[in-house]
Amino acid sequence: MSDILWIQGITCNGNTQSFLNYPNMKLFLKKYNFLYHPYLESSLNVVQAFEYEKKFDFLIIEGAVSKDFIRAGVNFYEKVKNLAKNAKYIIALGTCATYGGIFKEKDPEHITGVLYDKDKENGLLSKFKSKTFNIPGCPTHPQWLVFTLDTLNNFGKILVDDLSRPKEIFGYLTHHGCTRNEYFEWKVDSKNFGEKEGCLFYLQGCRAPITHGSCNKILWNEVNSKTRSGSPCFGCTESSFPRNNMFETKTFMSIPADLPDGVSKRAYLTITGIAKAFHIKRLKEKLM
Amino acid sequence: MKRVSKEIVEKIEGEAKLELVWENEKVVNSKIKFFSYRGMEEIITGKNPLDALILTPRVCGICGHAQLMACVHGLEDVYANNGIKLHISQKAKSIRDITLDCEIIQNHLKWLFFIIMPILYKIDSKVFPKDKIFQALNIAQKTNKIIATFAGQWPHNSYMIPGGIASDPTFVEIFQANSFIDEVILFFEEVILKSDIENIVAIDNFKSLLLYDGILKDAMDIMEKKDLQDLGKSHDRFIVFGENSIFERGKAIKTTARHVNEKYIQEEALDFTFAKNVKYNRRFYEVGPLSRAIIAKNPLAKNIHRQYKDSILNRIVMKIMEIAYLSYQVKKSLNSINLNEESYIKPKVKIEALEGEGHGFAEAARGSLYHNIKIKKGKIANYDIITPTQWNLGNSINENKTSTLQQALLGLKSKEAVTLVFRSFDECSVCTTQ
Repeated sequence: MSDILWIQGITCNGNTQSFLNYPNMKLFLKKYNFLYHPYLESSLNVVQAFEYEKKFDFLIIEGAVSKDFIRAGVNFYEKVKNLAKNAKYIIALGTCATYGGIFKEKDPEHITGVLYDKDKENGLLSKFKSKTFNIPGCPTHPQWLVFTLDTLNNFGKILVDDLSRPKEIFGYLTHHGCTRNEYFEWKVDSKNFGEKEGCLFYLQGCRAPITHGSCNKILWNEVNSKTRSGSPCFGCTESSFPRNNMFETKTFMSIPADLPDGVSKRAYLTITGIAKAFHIKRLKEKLM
Repeated sequence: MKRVSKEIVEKIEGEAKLELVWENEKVVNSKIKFFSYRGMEEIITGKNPLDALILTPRVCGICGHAQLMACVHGLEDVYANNGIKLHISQKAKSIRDITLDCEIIQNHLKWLFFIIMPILYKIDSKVFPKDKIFQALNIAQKTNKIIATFAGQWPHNSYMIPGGIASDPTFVEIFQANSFIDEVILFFEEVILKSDIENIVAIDNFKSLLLYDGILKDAMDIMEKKDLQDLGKSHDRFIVFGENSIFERGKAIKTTARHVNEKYIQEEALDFTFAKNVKYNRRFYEVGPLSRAIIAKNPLAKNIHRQYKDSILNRIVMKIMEIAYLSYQVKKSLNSINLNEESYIKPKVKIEALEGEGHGFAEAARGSLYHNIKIKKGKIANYDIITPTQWNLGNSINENKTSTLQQALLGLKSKEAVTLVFRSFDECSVCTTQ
């Protein structure tokens, strides 16, 4: 059994609720013991959890961090520093814990993620970098978390990218596996919301080709994703989240200002010119 | 001799501190304090109005979908107040209602199996079986799958937009959602109240309710055995603002429903807690499933009210029964959707071009949610959110004018009774301290 202590800083509880969607909870709880969890039964109460002095396996931090945030009557930052020392691994869970996220915007000078402050590696707990792993997402998919815990538990290490995110989750783009991919390939945009047809990258603000995550590989609630169902990807796993005007694609000379990850403007313009020249009739028609 | 007990209440989507004043071993006064404030309203101010559809669900991990609906209603009301009537198709309206109904169902299931049943069993010196909790969690997950089927994911989606919804389902999605809701209904029929759904939703008196075995009967038996039925009575004042799904707007003192107008909603800041009081025309009201049932003239709620008024018994029964009412409603709506209608009808004017105010309401799991939105020069100029827990958990500074919770706690004789009454309101800390 590995011990988990799950604590919350400045958060909406979204990652806690998202975790409750994990389908194999009973099996999970045979492998892991919650010293503290914000919803599930656990051996400690919240005050005892903050005061916990022994060594343990996983510290999960949900929510952003600030030096003067009070949680259950105690200074969150001071308590978390102690817990962090005693934890074998630290998981920064969700976009707020990873980069500061939405709640950073209340006080951008003083609120940060665990390791990162937006994309800069000077979060309030960045000294714990060697044992901290980021799982961004607003919220995080429960299977992303369980995969990370299981891998660390079984192998003692996990492959990460340069933002300390597990590569097997964040090596992909949200775009990968979207059911609208063909429209992207042929540059056919969705004219409106509420349509089955068309790609949302050109008008509706979709960030899937620029956003790292497995949303269209490991489906949400095992059934769907935002982009499959017609909502743009808001880029919630990246440090730039939340941006402004998220329901709109910013364009530059009538192409998206932010191009797919790693694709040069020249390459993009060339392929767009060719794709658009072909006017594929089937792709302009309704699916049904 | 008066004594004061202070306790941190946890696992209420965050924490709060409950201070009780005891005299002769009875609660004579109370205070509820919330520790932190996250500043969501300030974060939204200055943003593009449509970005509020992405930000406001992040007020709360468990009722984000209700936040989304209140927000979209508020933005649509800005259009209306500018003389532009947006046409929202019946299909889009129904699907919005279905997904919010599902958020409420999953919330009530978690509340019943993770919180209320374990507390009741503990009072009866028993342990509520873990397997039942896992079984209920599985059903709550199925309910969330229905939301994801239409909205992409749960928690935190933004598929409701002024003009309709972003998705455009086919019969594949309708069938999929139907099979999930059938499982929810079956669970209710097999575990919560052993009868069939048609009969369950027609039960109109407390005696008939007790004819059937299941979790609901278990809860009622413990409450009778331990003499808990009359606890937690408050002011017998109910209020409902949202009109989504089966809910009706109105207020009632005892059981006579009257009209409401949002201009009488008042917020009041306090110096010792981050939560603001909310009153309607200078009085505290209760929001939530019991209020919704009373305002909608639900015969079962009215029948129970004759004997038990607004006690925890009525509050708990109506919250459990709401799972059945909403599941039944979801099933009905799924089968009446006309897929040929538009999902989204693009507004002729962009919202950034409008100025003015919008009032957005939604019935969330715990009660009425209100968003007040002001737009100026294409940006959010002010955003005010009033949540259900604020209504129920006020702090009156005047001992003669207690809040809903304070009144409900008065006279309780044990810590267990306080816990049960407190949790009957299913409070949410994060919402209260947006």
